[in-house]
Amino acid sequence: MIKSLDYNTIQELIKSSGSEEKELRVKGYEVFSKVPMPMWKRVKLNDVHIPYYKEYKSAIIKNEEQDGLVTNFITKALMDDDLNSLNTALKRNFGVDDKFKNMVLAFYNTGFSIRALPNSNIKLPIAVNYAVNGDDDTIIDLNLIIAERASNMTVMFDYSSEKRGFHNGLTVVIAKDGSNVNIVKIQRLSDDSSNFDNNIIITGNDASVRWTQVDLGSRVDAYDITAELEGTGSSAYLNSIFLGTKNQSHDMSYKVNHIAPRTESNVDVKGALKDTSKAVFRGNLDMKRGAKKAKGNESEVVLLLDKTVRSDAIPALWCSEDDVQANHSASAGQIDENKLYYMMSRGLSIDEAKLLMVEASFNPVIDTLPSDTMRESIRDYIGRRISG
Amino acid sequence: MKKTIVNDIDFSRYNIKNEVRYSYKTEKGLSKKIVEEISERKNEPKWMRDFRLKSLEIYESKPMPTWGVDLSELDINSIVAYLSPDTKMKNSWDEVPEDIRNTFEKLGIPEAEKKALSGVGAQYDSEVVYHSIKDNLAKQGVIFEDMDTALKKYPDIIKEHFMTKNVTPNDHKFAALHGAIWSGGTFVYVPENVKVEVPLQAYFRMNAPGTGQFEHTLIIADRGSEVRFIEGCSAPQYAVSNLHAGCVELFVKEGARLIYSTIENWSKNTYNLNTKRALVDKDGVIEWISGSFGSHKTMLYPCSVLRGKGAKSEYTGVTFAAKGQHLDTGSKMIHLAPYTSSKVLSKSISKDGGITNYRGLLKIGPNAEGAKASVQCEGLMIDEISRSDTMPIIEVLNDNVDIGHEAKVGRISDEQIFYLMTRGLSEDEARSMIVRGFVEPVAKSLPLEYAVELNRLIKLELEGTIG
Amino acid sequence: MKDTLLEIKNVKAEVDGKEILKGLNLTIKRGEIHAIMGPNGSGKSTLCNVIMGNPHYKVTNGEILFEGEDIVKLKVNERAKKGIFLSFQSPEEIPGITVDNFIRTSLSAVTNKNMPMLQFAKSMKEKMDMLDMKPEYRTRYLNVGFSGGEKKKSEILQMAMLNPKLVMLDEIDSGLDIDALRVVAETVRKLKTDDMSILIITHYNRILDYLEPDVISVLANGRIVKEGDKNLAKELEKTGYESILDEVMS
Ligand SMILES: Nc1ncnc2c1ncn2[C@@H]1O[C@H](COP(=O)(O)OP(=O)(O)OP(=O)(O)O)[C@@H](O)[C@H]1O
Ligand SMILES: [Mg+2]
Repeated sequence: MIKSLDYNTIQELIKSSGSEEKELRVKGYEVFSKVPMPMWKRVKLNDVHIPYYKEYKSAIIKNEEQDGLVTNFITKALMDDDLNSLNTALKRNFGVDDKFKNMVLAFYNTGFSIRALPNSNIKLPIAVNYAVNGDDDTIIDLNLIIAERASNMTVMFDYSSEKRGFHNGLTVVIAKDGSNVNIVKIQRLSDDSSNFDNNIIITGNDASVRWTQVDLGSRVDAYDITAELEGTGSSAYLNSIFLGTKNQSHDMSYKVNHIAPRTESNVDVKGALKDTSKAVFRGNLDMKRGAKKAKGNESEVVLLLDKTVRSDAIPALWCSEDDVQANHSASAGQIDENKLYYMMSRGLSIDEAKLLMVEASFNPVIDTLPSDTMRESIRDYIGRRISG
Repeated sequence: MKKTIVNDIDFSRYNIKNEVRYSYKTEKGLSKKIVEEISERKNEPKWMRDFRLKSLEIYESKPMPTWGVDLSELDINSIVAYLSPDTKMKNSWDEVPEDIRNTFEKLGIPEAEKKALSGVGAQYDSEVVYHSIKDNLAKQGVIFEDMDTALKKYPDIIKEHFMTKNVTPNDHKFAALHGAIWSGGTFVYVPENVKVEVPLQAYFRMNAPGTGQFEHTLIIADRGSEVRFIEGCSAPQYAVSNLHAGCVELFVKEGARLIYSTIENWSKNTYNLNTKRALVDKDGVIEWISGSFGSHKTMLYPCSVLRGKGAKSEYTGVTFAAKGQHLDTGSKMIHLAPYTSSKVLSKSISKDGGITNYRGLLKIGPNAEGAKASVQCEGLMIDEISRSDTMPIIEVLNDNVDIGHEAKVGRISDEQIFYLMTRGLSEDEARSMIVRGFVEPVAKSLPLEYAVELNRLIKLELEGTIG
Repeated sequence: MKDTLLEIKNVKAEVDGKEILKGLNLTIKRGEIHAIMGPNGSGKSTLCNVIMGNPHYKVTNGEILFEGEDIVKLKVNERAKKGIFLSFQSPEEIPGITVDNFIRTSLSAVTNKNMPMLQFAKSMKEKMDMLDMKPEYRTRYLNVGFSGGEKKKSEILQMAMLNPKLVMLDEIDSGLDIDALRVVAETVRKLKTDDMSILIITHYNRILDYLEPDVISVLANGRIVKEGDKNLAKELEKTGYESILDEVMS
């Protein structure tokens, strides 16, 4: 079934669904149809086509049968009580753009609900793979991750493709009081793909979310991760690596809103740009009034490997509370020539030395990935892209 | 202890209100007729009059900026664009009418002139009332004139440089407004290799309520020359809005060095929407030193266009926003040539609900091989009802660069205060000492008299909450 | 008579447009231990950098022959592959790359083959034991947070693994305590084969007690101004550089 993203398609999609899903899609469609396609100044969307609606049946979830874990297809989950959580999350301001965010709500064709029950300790990482697979080349995923009180879990998303695909997703992470959540997102779609991703994290008291973003693929790539630190003493640690090669454009946005006292955040982005690639880093660290004793940190370091790259950074810091510590920094430049010399004195060629320096910058993040094979395959992938 | 830090704490000297006596003023608001009147009264050449009218058209065609500070309460139609005091420009303070002279005396201008300046221009509302330069400089060919006189005496230079290749009326709405109704200001020309050791100063004073001041400053530092220019601004407090939309155009030629310092203390009913830009040639140096204390709302982002190889720019600024103030300041560094370098140090203090925002642009163009740039922003929050935001934009289009940006916000730590109190200071003294230390990098780049002025202003501002 | 490993002929070199080496001549025989002493700032580290090929240092005159071949135009890594090793006066820190990872990578670059994992681990353990280094250093990021002495050991560990022909030790003895100095010097001595030449830059005699030099050269003002045997060091200790400089200049 190939259909344009219009009202008829919505009608068809909701024919057999429950009232919750209907409401979600119809509301999403209302906004989607009203807002125009955005015109971005920094990353051009000219090469992005608004896709047709297609089914997507290639989603795979692993390790979903564990004690204390409840997983479901998102459509099923909406019939349960997950809808409330989703709706409260959707009221927040997040996402790359209203058009893309609401496209997901109206036309999602895949997605999971993943819930860790109270006090459960989910040992194995739950792996969700969305790969472009034959005709399944349009991934519009809606994911809802709920960590109930004092639970622990790791969820790893892997978006990959060998050929052109379109991905636009929305992920809601709700970390309730005292929970610990680890999210990993890996994006290695092919060089002619488009990738959009809208993410929101909401934390309860003393909850902690670690998010690792590995952003390597796609021709046009835009994502946003927004963290609402609402619970006292809660924290979000967002670590990211990105690599731009060929004519890729990456537009990366991180927003951390410190709302409650003693919240803590760290956004740490490391990137490398090669060929004619381009990256935009947007960091918004917002210390709201009342977030007493909060600590926020945001840093970006970009290695520039070719003359023809372009790197923009807008690391904004907003502060309406005096009893806080907030820092941000951004830097860009070539690899330190003394370090290159040191490595070459040990026999490495200049290209090998550069690759090693990029790896050096990425390793602290790659080392935290939850599986050996994943670490290896990411390192290989990066090596091939830089040498190739 | 307090007394030894700063001699007198007397806000009143900024708040002198003289009776408004004018020889001429335009109606409120802005129109073709008003612009033509200003031009006619100044007896300007036709090109300038045409330029003003063209600027007015551009002004009318441009929307109000929607970013930065909220300008919705600024009503241009209630502002008197031009008000000429009932005196002509003098070269001796004795000839300046007594009340105006008194104002400048209280502000310390004639005294500073004697002690520490090479030349002074003093503007009162729309016109310059006093102008003088030391003989030895004039002999070396240094030109220091008020802008209206310069337009008559050096029409070719002015025509070539006036809002043509530096700031232009097309840049933004308030640059266009300036082009239409500018009045007064200063023209400086420093010939090749002449070094002006002692600073030149212009002081801008708004006296009448509900008026605008739109002075134009044009400085050309020719090859290998050196000059330091100081600009001071203030106005008494009124209930109605005043508007200041000045424009500063600086040309720093090969190997020249220009230091441009501003201490701005407009009254808290003033909208300060100012445009400043320097074009810097090969190995030239521009240094901006900027203290922003006054005004209701400010939007000011001095821009350095580093267009010659090895050109350098430094911006050192301190912004202090108290109750009812929203000061949106920053700097733009545009690197267009190889081996250019820039350095920004911005300090801001917010208290009593004041809002400071550092807004900056750092751009490294594709030809700026080997460029180096650093930006450092620090925000100090004095209380929990104020705000301090930082919004830098960094655009890099070259790999052979070394750039870094750092920012932090926080408050005076209890530990620091405790430490100073164990050494015998009161809490207020401790705070004020820490704040002085915080702005020290700016204070130390100012000539002594002005550093004292800066400390005095900080003291004044702090008294409100702490005293 | 042993053959010549390195021959430097009338080399002039500059850094940032400033001439540091001003016509320097030096010959190192295969298997020889050669010490270079000289006042601070005389150009000793510069000499090492010039031999290693640091692109920051520009050779404006002369030849550097390594095994008879002029290497002036070779890149740094090509020189490393030929068997030249520099232990840096202040080694770089490389966050994100472990000691293990780094040494494996450079070993395979220099030898053009991958050493099997087990053999590598065994060899590392052996060398680290010699150097009195704890095994956990293998997984630490290269030189990051290492103390001054640990950095020097890390340099010698690399030297031990890469097995070069010419080892330049630029002030390997600075920052080491007495025991560490003994461990490091003895390790170097044990690793030294008949084919390996060592160039020691030092300000002190102590290291020369462990690594007895065949030749000592004095570098001053960008030139070798005096050569002698191991007794020269003792003499220098007594008289300082000034008397020698006076003697040479006059
Ligand atoms: N990268 C550089 N940039 C500028 N000057 C340099 C550089 N490297 C060396 N120099 C200068 O060259 C001279 C020689 O330096 P070098 O490091 O070779 O001395 P040295 O003999 O090793 O001294 P020390 O005994 O203190 O280690 C010094 O004056 C030094 O300042
Ligand atoms: Mg040295």
